[in-house]
Amino acid sequence: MSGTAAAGNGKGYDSIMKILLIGDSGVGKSCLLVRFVEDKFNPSFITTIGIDFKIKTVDINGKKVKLQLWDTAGQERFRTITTAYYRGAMGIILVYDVTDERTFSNVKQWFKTVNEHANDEAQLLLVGNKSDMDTRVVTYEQGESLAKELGLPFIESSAKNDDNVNEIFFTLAKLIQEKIDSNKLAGPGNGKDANISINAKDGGSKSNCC
Amino acid sequence: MSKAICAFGNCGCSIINLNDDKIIQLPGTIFETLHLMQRKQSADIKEGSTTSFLITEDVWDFDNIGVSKDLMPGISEELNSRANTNTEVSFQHDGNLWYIKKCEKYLICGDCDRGPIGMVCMISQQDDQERRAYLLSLGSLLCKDK
Repeated sequence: MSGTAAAGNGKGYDSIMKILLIGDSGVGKSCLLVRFVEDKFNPSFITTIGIDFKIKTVDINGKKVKLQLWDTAGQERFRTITTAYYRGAMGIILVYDVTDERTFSNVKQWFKTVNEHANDEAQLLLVGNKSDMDTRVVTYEQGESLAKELGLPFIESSAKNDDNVNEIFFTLAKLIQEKIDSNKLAGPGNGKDANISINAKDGGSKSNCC
Repeated sequence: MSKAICAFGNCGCSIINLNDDKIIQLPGTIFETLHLMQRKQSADIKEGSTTSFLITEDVWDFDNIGVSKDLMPGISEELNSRANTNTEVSFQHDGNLWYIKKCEKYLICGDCDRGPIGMVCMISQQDDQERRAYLLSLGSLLCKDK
């Protein structure tokens, strides 16, 4: 274990990370966060209310890391995801649906939006969801190729497979922890939340087509 | 130190470390009022009985937890309407008397999503400013020694 000050914070964890799920409506972002199967322990009123966020604790190389995972809660329908939502986010999961070409082609638009609003040091991850469906239209190779073009790590997932979903959060947390350890990413609340776009090549262009 | 873990099926998800200083007593009728899940079906909640909750103002105290969106009107109406009639649910904590002014959200297991196993409330001392607190129902969970 490397000697971070966190061990002495009395809080019982080494790091906390705010992580956002971003992407078109219907790509299954919520399903990556919750799996509401109705049974006698799971009354429908909870399903109807929906989830704001979850906290999950993972072990990254012996460090106790707490993740706070946020869904966009349908705001993406109206492209009204506010800057406040991005504030302090250390990780962003860009999700598309492998059975829906349109959600895949919109990834670049989301990538641009994220770069405009999020902390420029936030770690991104591209996720092709619903990989268990036989109605797939976007191949693994296409996803991998886009990820490479955007310079992002890439995972395919199926919300039906819990291990796979946990793998997404674990992978992202590990990448963020590595950044923290190399002091590239400071924690939230350090005043680095300004809207700095790293996307210089898109400089000035604000066209939001879709 | 012992832990509160999810009691449903084989879940056993670690919810939070227990801390005696943060345990409060609420009326046993709260299960019914707020439709909270119970570890065992207790038809034996007697008039005047109490049930344990763990209270914290820091959501990062939880190891694994799900927090719902705001409750729709109706679900916690009975509790919230008490605030208007000055018959709020009250509890002792840190040597002070606190009142539950409003129930805003539910807590569910961070792993299997079952619940509700607690709630997010606005609480206050008499005439003092309201604060947000997370109230976890220990009667909805199992306790395990580490």
